[in-house]
Amino acid sequence: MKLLSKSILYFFPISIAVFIAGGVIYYHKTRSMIYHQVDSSLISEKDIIQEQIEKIQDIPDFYAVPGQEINVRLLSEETRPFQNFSDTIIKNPDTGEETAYRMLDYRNALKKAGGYQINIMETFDEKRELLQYLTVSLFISLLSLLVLSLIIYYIISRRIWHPFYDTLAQVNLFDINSNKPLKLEEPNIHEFRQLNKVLTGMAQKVQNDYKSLREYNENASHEMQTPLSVIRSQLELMQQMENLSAGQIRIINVINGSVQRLSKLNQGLLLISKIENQQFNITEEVNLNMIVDKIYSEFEELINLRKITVEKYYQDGIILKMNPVLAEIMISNLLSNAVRYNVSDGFIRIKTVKDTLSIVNSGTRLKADPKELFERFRKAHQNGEGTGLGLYIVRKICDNYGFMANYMYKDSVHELQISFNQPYMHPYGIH
Amino acid sequence: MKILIVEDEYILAESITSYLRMNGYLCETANNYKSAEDRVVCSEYDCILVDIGLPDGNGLELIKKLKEIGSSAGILILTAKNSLEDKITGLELGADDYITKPFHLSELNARIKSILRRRNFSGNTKIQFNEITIDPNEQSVNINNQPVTLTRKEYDMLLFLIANKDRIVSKESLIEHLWDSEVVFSDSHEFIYTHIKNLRNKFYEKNCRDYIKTIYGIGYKFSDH
Repeated sequence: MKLLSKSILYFFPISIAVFIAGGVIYYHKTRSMIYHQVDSSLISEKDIIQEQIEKIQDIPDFYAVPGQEINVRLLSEETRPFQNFSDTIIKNPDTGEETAYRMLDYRNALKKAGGYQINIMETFDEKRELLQYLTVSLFISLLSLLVLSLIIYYIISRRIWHPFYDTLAQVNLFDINSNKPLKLEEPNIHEFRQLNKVLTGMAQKVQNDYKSLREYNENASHEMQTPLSVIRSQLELMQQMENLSAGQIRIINVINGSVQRLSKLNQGLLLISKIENQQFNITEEVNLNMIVDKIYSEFEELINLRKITVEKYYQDGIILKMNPVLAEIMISNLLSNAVRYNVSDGFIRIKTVKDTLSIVNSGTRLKADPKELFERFRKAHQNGEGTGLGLYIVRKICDNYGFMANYMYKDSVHELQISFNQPYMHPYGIH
Repeated sequence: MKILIVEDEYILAESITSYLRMNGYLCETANNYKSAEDRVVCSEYDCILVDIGLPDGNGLELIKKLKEIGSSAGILILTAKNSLEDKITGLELGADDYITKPFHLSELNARIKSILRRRNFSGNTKIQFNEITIDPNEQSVNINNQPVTLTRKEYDMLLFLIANKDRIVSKESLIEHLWDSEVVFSDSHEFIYTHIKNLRNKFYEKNCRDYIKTIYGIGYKFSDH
């Protein structure tokens, strides 16, 4: 839930509750004030008439003010003082119009015998209408106040949180791999300025640490090359020696094999750190189909030796803007996997359709999870041949250019697809 | 043929020297930029192997220096940095070739041979080994003046073996020489064996002696004795 919705969600019911409570109190206060006013006017009228009755001990002459109706009558029975207000509705027999009245019923004893009763009624309609009118206008103004405050709140929130969303967008775009520092604005809100300062500092530190880590990887790989060269050259000199025994030759070969493996591994790691350090910055238009053909010709004899059938199906020509060396490494790793993990009399199908290259090959049963094959040192085959870096390197190259690599496996048929997403294509044959 | 090896790693310089001496070269070594500079100013070399990362300077500077003094020596860059930029810079400065550590000494030797051959504009560029004549310009092979048709890989293999004649060439170095890509297959050995067999057969058909000796467990040796 968005911050804005969340705070409105709190704000709205509370305001409604306050407004309703306020409205109810206001209504009752106004109503009782109106009653009080009407009742006191009825009482003062009664007092005048009562004074007359007390004086003359009979029904006096009186005038009713407009809107009032007065009835006075003498009562024969014993009467005690009594006063009661009531609301009543009287229907005009001519017009059928109903009118609300406030009525005072007053009774008291006369000095001689018996008592008297004063009934005063005052129309109440206008006052009631006023009450209704006041209530409705109060409701409307409260409602508009509520809507207005929501709108103002929304606008203010957006303005206040604007720097926050800016920061969020920038942080989202931040790439630990790139050398571009995280650039954030300096908002005039203290808290956000503080947040931006902390984030910028943190990003800078993370970037520096990551950079030095990559440099360390690269340096370590470099430094290993020289001792490896020394071991290898010494072994080669040893191989030149006369009269080596079979046992000695075996030992030399074992060492040689391990040095070879170590050296391949090292080259792979060096390549990865170079890709990560964006050191392949030369970008050219690369014709993918031509690269596939070139790499294929390198493997051709090996493919023939294993009696693997190769079908090439170039529906579309794929022209990519990328480093040519990386393009060759990518294709070479893919094809060598397709050859290496193939079976005798197997097949390889190379397809380029739209912006996707797919390499399908027969092979043995895949034991690992296809998704994990793009991880480093994740080998599906434990025959000790590969470095376990081949597909990881492919993934790194793909990441570098925003390509999508996918591995699919079904019934001993392996398929590796690379979607180049934003390629630069024309139909095959037009170069 | 006189070769200068500029390499700061003593043992590596030493093994290169031993191997090249076996192939009949005169070798001198320099372990830093300063002594390398002194040497190239004082004497002439046919080929200079330059390590790019020297403790007191960059090998690329040495190449500039060589071009300044008008040296005609062939230049082969040795480096631990497998970087395209260094390679391009080196070649632009006038280096002839580039080899990345760790390399096989037989590969290094073949590269030097090829540089020296290309440098030798005036002389005969053909390679002669008894009845075998190879013309690297036309990439053709003749035995007793009769042409032999070889596949690309067979030709490369023959040239590599002859460049390292009388030396044992390991299967690994052959594989790495034949494939640029970093891929090595378990059956590449079998593949090398097939190629050697085919090469032998083709030579046998032309009544050529079998110069390719199999060295048990290690590799092959091209030799006439």
